[in-house]
Amino acid sequence: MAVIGFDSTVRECDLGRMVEIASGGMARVFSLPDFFLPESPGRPIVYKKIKAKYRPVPQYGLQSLVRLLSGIESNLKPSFERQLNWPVRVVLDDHDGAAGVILPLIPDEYFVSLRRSSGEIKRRPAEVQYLFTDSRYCARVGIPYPDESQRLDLCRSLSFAMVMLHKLDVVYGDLSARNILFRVLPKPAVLLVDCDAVRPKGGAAPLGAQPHSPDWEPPEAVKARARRDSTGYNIQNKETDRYKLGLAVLRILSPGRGCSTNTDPKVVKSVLPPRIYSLLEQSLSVNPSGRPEAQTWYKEFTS
Amino acid sequence: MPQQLILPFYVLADVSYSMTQKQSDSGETPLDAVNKMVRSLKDAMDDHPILADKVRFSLVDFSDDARTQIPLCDLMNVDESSIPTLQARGGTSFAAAFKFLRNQIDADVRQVKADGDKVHRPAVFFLTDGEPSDEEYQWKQAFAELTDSLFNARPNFIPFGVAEAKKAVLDQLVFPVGRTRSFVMREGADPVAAIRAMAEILIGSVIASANSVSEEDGAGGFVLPDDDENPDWL
Repeated sequence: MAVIGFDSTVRECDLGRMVEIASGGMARVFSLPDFFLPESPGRPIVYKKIKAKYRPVPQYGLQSLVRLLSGIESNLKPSFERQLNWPVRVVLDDHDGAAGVILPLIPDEYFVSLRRSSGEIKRRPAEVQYLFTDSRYCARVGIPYPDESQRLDLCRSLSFAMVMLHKLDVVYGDLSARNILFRVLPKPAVLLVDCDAVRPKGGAAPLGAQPHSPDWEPPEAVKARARRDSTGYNIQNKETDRYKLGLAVLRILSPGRGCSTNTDPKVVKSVLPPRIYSLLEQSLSVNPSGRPEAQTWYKEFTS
Repeated sequence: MPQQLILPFYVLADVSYSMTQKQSDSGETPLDAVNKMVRSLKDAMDDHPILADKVRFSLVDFSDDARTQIPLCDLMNVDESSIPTLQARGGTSFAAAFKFLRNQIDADVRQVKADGDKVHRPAVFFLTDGEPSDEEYQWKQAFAELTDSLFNARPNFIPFGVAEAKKAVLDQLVFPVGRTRSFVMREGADPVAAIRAMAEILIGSVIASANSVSEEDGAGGFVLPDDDENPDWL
């Protein structure tokens, strides 16, 4: 059985058997039946291997993300690990580049079992997109449709995840319908995935600049694209995170047709508490500096 | 409800008699595989419900004539029991298919716009198992009208060929050249398996296209899935 020390890196050849369990656009995910972390041997982990066409990836940036975890205050660390699927090791290829990262296995409660139209049951990550749909869809496919109170709790959990990141001077970047996972039981909470794509403030993103997901583009990015400024379009900072946090809140609290593309809080003004509506207006404004911090949202949801 | 940006997808499927003649090892015919394609797409939309905020789907079949079997709609709202089962009939008139589709797309796009929504350029997934039964000049003219630069809603056209379909013919139906491609089954490959692979490409394209289009300014558009090469396609 392969064992590693507290180095933030591990070589792929030391991982033992690799069993593919998922594949996405940029990476393949493997379970590692022979490999464990010495500091938490019982913790289930997976290997997210970046596809060859996106490599080589410099190991330095990813290593700094792994090391950031060990520098977190001990009272914050459990919450951080619960809410962020953070890389715990960098996997090196034969040429000392990064081939991928070791990540905690996403817990079962962050998956849903969908009953498809054909009757087939499909297990899928509980992406926040399922919170944007109406109750009829949720009933048809047999997934939870959280009530308003649960939705506010989910927003609180999301805003707290962003509070933690921003406190550490980390920009999440591509917040979207796919990379926020949620659970309703045992209590409502969110888990941010794809955390290997984040960017420490003041530095470059380890995996390179990630584009904004469509329908999650802040106004300044849309303006940059209009003037064909691709560098400006790709800029992601705390202000763009705040915009996307506001969008997520808007969409989680106003599910239904058109919700996943809506950017206008006026459309749902009548169903939102006035204070939340006011924060949404500020969050989704064209003025980046006027957007409320995640901490402001968190206080609102805990008041 | 805010203004939506709609991405229309059409499947234009050959239902000539030959589509029922060759069976795979499982006893399934190519037409059976086409009938399963719509259900597979509906399953995929169940997995990704926010696609319904953008994607609209229509199924048109053709032989000597063409008929709309599923009018442009949100497939999520189509009950499983009301998905039609295509039946084989007649020959393989590409000209009839292209003429019919041009009129249908024109009407659909105008209707969506009249509802206050914006429409992206449609995508047509065209499937045939043989050569056209009409004269070459007829289908070429009909295709030229469908993709005419004066036709604002001219679609992206992705031809799929199985069984007796010829790559030399289908390559002429790629539109726009350089942005899409043809998928023609290698000789001896199983047409049913090829149509299943086509369904995967359709689903991948629906997801990738919806994820490339931004409501905010309409950027992005139709894309084929970025996937590994399938050795059964020429």
